[in-house]
Amino acid sequence: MAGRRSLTLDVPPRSIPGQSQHRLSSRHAHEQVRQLHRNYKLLSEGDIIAEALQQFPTLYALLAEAVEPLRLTFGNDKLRQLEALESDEGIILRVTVQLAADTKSPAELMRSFKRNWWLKNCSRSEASLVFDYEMGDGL
Amino acid sequence: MAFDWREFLLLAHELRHEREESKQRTAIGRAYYYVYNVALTEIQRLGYDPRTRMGAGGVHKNLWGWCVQHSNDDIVALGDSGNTLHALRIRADYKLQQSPAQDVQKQLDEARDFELLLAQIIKRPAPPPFP
Repeated sequence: MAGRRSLTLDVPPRSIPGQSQHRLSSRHAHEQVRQLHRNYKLLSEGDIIAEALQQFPTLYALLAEAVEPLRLTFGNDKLRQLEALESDEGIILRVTVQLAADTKSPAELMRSFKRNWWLKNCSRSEASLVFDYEMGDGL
Repeated sequence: MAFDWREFLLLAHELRHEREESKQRTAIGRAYYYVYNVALTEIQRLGYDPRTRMGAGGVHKNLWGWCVQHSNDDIVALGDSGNTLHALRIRADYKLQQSPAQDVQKQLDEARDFELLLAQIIKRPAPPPFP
């Protein structure tokens, strides 16, 4: 990658990342899962979420920091869910905000959250965290 | 003649109202693989080298990881969009609990937004809307 220049956009990547510099201890990661449970309903086993937090130590801070912008965008009372998606690609954590079925322009709300906060921070995620919404009872 | 990856998206669009869950899950997967394959070609023209490992994970995470690390905001947004589509595809293929019905239209809408943004980035005409 070093020395390469884009062909049509003269803008290099922000950094040349490698794997996360260190791996958290299992005990520390499980404590982080307990902390996250205060703000997110966990849809996956704590062990697999802890595994993701061990593998990608930046995710805990992102998840903790995301709570306030999620509240500001979607409302204080909306349920935030966290699930781990495992595949041969590894683990991706997915946050979904549960919205009432009659919510107007839910996609625009999510775009607003991403524009105002997430896209400024997602470079820290190692492509291992996504935000989405689901329509349901919203509580 | 080379296969046109957009055929995957058109197939997903055809399947969008099917009642069978297997077809709904297939639609979600095909929409993602359209996005992945078309992005893989175009993003390499912007400097992405698939042989350069961006971190843990496979070829999909590698591509979206490169995009979200980019200094161009549109490419960051493209990477996040691709990764959002990727997550729904994993869910459709591996998670039994949730019904995918709600996700099909969302996946199609996200894939459409993705191709419009990609066209803007690479300065090509936008693909035609769904039939």
